[in-house]
Amino acid sequence: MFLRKYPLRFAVVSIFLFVGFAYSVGFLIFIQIFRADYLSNLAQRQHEHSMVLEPRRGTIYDRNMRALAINLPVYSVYANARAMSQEHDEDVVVEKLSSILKIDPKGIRDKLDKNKYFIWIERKVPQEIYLQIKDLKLPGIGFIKESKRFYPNQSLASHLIGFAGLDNNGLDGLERDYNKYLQGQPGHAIILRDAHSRELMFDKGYIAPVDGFSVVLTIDETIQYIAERALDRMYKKYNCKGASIIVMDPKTGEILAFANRPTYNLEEASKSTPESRTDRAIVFTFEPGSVFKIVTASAALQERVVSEGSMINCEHGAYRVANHILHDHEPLGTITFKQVIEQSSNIGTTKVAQRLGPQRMYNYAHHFRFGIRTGIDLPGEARGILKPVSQWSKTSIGAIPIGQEVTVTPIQLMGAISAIANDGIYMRPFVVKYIKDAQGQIIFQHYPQILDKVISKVTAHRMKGILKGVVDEGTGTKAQIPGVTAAGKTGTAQKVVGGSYSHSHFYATFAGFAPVDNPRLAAVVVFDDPHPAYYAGTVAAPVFSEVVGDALKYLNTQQQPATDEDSPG
Amino acid sequence: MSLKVYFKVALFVTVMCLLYIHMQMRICQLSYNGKDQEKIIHELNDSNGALSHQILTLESANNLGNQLLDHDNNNLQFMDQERVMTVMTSAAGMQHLTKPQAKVEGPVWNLFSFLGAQEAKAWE
Repeated sequence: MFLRKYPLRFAVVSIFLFVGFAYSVGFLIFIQIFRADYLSNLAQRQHEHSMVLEPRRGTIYDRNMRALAINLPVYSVYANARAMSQEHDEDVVVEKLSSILKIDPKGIRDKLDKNKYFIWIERKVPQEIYLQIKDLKLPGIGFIKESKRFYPNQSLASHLIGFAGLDNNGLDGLERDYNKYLQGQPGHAIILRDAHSRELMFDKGYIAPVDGFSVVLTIDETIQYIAERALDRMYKKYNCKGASIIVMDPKTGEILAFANRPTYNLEEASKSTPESRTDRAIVFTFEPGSVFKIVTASAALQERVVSEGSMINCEHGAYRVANHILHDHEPLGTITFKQVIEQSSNIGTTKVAQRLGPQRMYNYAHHFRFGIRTGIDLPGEARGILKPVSQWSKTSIGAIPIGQEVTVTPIQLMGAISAIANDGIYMRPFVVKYIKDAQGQIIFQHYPQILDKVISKVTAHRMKGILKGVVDEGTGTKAQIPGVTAAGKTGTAQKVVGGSYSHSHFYATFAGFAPVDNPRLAAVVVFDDPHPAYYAGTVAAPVFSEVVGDALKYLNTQQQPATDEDSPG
Repeated sequence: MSLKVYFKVALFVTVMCLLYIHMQMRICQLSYNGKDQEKIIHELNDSNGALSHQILTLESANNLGNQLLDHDNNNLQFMDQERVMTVMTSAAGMQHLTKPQAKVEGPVWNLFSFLGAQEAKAWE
């Protein structure tokens, strides 16, 4: 009835509806065919959030599984300057943040004035600072969770451990050298968000991050502390330019302590100087002086050139070698070979070396790995200088056997003294015991490795007797350890200043081991330019005594198995 | 199709659609709850991290040494082995200490058994 009454209206409405419907269908077809990709991408970007999942960097442990470097979660503070609606907001943010973070307000304002969506204000702030800022609910201020490397022992073993940067990449020391094991592999996930950008739990394409492996060192945290404390005390007392100490198990080559001075705090690595970061124990080469006589004496005994009781005329303190007059630190007459080493006579040692001859002297020094790397698992180890016989001058036979015209590193001295302690067997020193994954599976393990047999067991035993004499009644009496027999050799070497040997600048070195019958620890202590006292027997030997004495006591307590849990029952 | 059947189908489809929407909403709600729980876990994890840091710092050799050994006028030192006395706090431990050494049994050893202290044996 209505249709008949109002046909025109009906037609208009029908046409209008038809056109509208046709337009809608057409538009939908257009969207579906031509705009589908663009719009679905737009929706995807709005609802899906792609995230890189940061792996946990592996921990560095000492031999007793005490953490030396560990990653812990922290927050970084950022600002969205465009979210600060008023000038007032910015003022409040600048005032509050500068007082909590203790940074220059102008610096914060300059950052905010850039008017960007994302500006870092402070990376990796401590937990209490983060909580303080969070509680303020400042406009435009947000937080991003990251992880930060912590070094609980601060400067302890800093040269060995090294440090990682803000992005958790190793920049120095073992952190850098073992970065590929420690860093892990980042994961990936796509998280769905609602219209308010709130994250939902749905995720697709989830790839879990692979946490970094943990590195377990041969270092013992307690022995390391003992060594650093004693080294530091003498380093300060004698105003030294530098110092190093290495403590090693001579039977396995495991390094138990490894320290240098000057040093730096790993928690504030950015404030350190290149000099304080120098790993002197493996890169610093110096003329060792009399401590090198252990090589000459070992060679002479092994080659049966002399015996402990052989009498040697020390010429009362002056002896000509080619055009050079050799002196002793005090005039000595005719004494036994054992006394020559105990009293550290340059003339007596040179006479023994002359009987030995340059080639045999060189061969033994080479076997003791002077002039070549010890093979310690740390990069940058220096080789030092040991000239081949063809390059020796006429005076070299009066210099090299007493530790001149030859340069060594502290780790090379450690290798040599340990070989004598270990019945003539030279073990490769190492600092990384093993690497394990998060499940405790061993990925890589270092085993003790014999590098050479430098002298026979009998000769090593005889050398132990001579070196015990050095500590009992020679130049190293201050290395004595109450209740424990110790052996070693002092070395007070003149530094070369302006092309000639200085009479006021020295290196003071002591290399030794204890107990003599069954050596458990070997140690090398080196001081660079100590003053006013400079004799190794005064400066370096007491450090050996303190460190090895305390470390042996500590190791004995570690081997106390008597607990109720151990008892049967 | 009769109107009755049409309405039945429409009703069924509507109910199923509502059910589907309800389930989707529940899933969203659960994921929000999950997120809230996750937030709590994160906060606990953060405080665990902060506490771990404090514990590691406090128990580090560096800190203990500075606090205990480097104080002025302190006489702390590593103990000597001969000053160590083992104290057993349980009966099992005492038994372990007082237990006589196991006798070596065997025909050869028995020849020399008169050398050792004799003790009376109880009849079974």
